[in-house]
Amino acid sequence: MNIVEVEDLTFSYGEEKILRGVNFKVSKGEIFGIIGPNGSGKSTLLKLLARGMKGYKGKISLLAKDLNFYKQKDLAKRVGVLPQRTEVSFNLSVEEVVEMGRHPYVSRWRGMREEDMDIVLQSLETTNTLSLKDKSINDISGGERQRVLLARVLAQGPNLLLLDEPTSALDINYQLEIFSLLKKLKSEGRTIIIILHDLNLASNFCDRVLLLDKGNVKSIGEPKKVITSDNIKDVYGCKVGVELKDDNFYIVYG
Amino acid sequence: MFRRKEEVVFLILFMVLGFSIIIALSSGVAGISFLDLLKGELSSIEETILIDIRLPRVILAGLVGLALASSGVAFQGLFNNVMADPYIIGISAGASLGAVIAINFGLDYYFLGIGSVPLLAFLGAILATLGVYTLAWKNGRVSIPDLLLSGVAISFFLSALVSLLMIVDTNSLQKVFYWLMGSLTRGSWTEVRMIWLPILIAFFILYLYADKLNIILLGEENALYLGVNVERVKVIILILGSLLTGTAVAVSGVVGFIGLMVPHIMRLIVGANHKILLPAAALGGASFLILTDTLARTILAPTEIPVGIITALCGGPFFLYLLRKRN
Repeated sequence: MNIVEVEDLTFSYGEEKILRGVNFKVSKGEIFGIIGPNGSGKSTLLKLLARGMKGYKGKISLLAKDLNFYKQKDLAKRVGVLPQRTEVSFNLSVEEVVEMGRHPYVSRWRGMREEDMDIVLQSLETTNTLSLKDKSINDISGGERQRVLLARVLAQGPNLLLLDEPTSALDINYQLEIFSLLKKLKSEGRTIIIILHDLNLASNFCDRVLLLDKGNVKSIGEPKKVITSDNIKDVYGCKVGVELKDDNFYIVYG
Repeated sequence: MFRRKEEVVFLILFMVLGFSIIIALSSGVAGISFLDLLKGELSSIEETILIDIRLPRVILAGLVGLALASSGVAFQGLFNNVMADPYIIGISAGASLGAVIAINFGLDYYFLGIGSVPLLAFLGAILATLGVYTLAWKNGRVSIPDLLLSGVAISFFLSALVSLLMIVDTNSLQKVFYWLMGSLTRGSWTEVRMIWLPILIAFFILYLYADKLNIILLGEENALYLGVNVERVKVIILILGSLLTGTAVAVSGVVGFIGLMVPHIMRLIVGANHKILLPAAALGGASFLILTDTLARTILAPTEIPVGIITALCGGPFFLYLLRKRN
């Protein structure tokens, strides 16, 4: 089953065309990477899928239903989004932040039910952040913070996760931790669309990737077919070698 | 819904409020004590002083403190900005202009029992907010930075008009000055009847939006992805905050500091969760203004000091103390 179907998606910001006729499909349980140079339209594409921006041409369907026909709360129950940056000026606790993930389910008059609290605890446990729950979101490390924000997304109970560079500010240990978490989520049948700058990570963890070049789809498919030295040279304008050893993927510089 | 620590905090806050009211009722030139009242040993004149002069003033101070502190919380949350206060979008400047016009031109009308000064102050507050809001409105949405910037611009513009009017007519300077500094001198049952209902209703509705305010602390984008209708929530919070502030300012003038500092002080004590912060700030703001207003009318008795001076004098050092202690 296709979780996401994008047909002929075009988006302009003023005069400038950001996306030009993008087509792709993502099926259930996939980890689908979006790669491409800075300014190629990756974040815009993700925001459009999340309905964080409006005014596109073409068609986006999520779970076999046109994106425009979703109510805001229903969308929040099915799609969890982690934007590139989340700034919090005030000291909310980790638990309070994760509780917000239940907002689409909680009625104003009744408040959180036991069931909602269980899901919050589960999300904290899954992301290995339960021990942080009483700390302030601003007093924890970057890696912990990213996992907490991911816990909030999980608390929404989404079928589809849209993640904008969740690992870009993290050290290699945290990066691997996030990806092993994403694999676990995939094994539970969730679908993940993820923007990545690191081509090694994209190759080793994504089932398929989409390479964007100035708003066009340059290539789409299995990482080893998309991330080739020819494609990288065409899109990024730099010369690198790509090697496969024992099914692991390496980019060789120089 | 509340956890144990929060129950204790609220118990303490209610006790502080109770003590503040007792102290306020017992202090004043006439030398009446609360104990005498409980014992029933008051003459009818003393009873009149207590019931018709001190009590309405205490209630008024409580309501104004509640309104300013809770709208301060709401605006800081909505703007995601620690420097926001109830006056940030031009409410005080608009109200000041309205009040100065009423005072300078000696307008002495009553509309539904409401005097021209509070009436024009309230109108000025609402018109200024509407103006700021309209300026920040673009393509079906209101941008928060634009709202702040047009608030500052409108404030400067209206304040200039206020200064101009003050210079043109120096006869009413003292009256205008007291109003601008914030003062509850004119507090009576009439003022209480004017403001209690709008303030309590606006506060109650604001409380219903506490969870949305929490989510907006994560930023508008995240709020949208969590199913919040961000634009609608912004408008509702702006209306409620302006209503609370405008109503308070109409009867008290521009009492500074409470709306900025009480939210911060309470946030240091109970945290940033609006479900707890809003009622805590409301109680704290009420107690704070009741106590400072008592100082304002007794410290140099029989002369009254504008309470705005006291709030800033007491609140500033106390806030710095809390800030340093936390670090």
